[in-house]
Amino acid sequence: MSSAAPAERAALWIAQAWSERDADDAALAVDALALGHLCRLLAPDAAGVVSELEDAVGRAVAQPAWPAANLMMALLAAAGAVHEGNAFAASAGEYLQILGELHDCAARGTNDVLLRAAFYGADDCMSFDLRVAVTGVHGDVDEVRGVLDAIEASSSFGTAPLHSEEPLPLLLEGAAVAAFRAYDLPRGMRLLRARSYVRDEPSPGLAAGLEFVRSAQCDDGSFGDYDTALAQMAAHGERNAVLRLKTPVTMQALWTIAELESPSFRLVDAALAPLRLARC
Amino acid sequence: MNTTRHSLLFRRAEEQERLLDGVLSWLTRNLSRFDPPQEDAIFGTVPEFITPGRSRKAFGELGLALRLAHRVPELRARREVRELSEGWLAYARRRNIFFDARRRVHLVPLMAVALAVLQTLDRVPADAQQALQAVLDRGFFDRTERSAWSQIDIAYYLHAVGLRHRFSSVAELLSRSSLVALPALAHAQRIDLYGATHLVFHGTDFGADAEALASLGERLHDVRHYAALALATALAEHDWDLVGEFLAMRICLRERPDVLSHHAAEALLRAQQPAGFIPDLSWLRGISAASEDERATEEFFAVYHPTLVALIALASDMSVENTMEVAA
Repeated sequence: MSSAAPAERAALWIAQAWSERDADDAALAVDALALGHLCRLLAPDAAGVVSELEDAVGRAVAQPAWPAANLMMALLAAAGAVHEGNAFAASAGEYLQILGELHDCAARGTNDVLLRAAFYGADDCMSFDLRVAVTGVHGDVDEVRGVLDAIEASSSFGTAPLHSEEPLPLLLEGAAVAAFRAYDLPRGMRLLRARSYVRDEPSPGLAAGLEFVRSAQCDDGSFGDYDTALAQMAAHGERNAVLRLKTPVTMQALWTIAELESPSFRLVDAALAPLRLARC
Repeated sequence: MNTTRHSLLFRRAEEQERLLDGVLSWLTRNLSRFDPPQEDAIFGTVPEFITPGRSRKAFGELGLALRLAHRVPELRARREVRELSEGWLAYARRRNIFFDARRRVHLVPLMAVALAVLQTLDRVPADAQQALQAVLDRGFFDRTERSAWSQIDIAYYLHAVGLRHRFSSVAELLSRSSLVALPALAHAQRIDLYGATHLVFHGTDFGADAEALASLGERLHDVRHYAALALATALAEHDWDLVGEFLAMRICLRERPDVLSHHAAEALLRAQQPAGFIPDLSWLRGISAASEDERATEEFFAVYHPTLVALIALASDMSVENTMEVAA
């Protein structure tokens, strides 16, 4: 898989960045563990580096702040802990048990669908007709978010087939390019993934988007050129600025590259599989 | 009666009519704002240092749009187009737009546009044509370093009015342009995008010269994909000027009507303001001005271009549509 090389470099970066953190932070620990788990999945050769990262996190943080993290990051980190059976496996199990108790199987929100896909797998996901106003793709921020929520929920993050109409795929590509032009990497990458969920076929727009994401990898292995933003955060005395800003972006970049490079790869299928095994 | 439409822009004739009515109405009401400077009353600047500025550019671009509108019998017959054309001609004469042409070298490209407009709306004044030919014959204007985009733009109008020049052929210039190695959309600046649209506009005579596309060879496929993605990008950015440009570019590339162009044209129609103009990015962000007069002036210069681009897209569409109907 050609996402291996960027993942291997990203593993080296997160290990180094964690070692250079300004302060221990239990919420950032979740993000670091999540990225580590994804790197190991995409680049088996990075397993040693990730294992060292997990040990370093374990020495600094007694228990990750699971609920404080983004749900996808928390599920990834928990899946990694369960899979490796490491020092965080027990607290990950408790967190997952609480999530399971709170989860409403009938609910159709994005997080509900994510939990359903994580706990029960793609086989249990249903196909929905996508009901979105196409004009929402070039609407305001809330309208775009609504379209993306609908696509992710309806397709169970790309694991269930989706029926959509023209010109939605091309509009999503255009919106992704527009986001990249504004250097809004998370929004652009989310739009690209959504594009691949509504139509699982290559296109010049997807190729252009993928090229942009690949070229956003820095020499140190992280993703995103944020020198100015980081300098501003440092000037304001913000701590752990590099980890806070770049870990989620780097995770999303690897997620996007992996799904776009190989449409048979879907993060909720591949990376969260340990959660389903744990519940069997 | 055959009701099949070949319009790239609109599925329904009434949508085209609404956009056109609004655009022509706004242009007619704002005709006086296109009035260019009194050329024979500028004394404080060395002629060689006089540059176009926004007022002359607006006047030239109105002429360009009217020239294209005159290619379409239905547009030529409209009262607003007649009024605008008569007004443009009156300004051209009153302002003496070719004054001191042999020395005002920075105005030569706009003068070439104006000659082409006069050729369509009235007649080419022989003295102005001779003055421009004299400038060209001096052996510098068409020999200085210019981008392929700039060369195609100028050569197109020189060729249209029969002026001798040393610019390369359209095919040669296109082969040296950014169309053969298009700039990555996620990084391209807006000016780069205007470069792509203008290369196609002038390289294809606004869609009238279908054979020019052949010179792009296998690249034509890439250019069409690029135009489609760029149109979708401009939609997401609410950049209605570029939405109009890329719609027009797709028409000039002889794309068949498709759901993307219909969707974008409908969005453009929704963006059209009650006064009839098409807003640009600066208008959408809000125009600040010290007085009401200044505000009206700034608003005009903010929105006239996307409004003219909409007219150019409509004229190109109706022109190509007619060609397709004849071909059919």
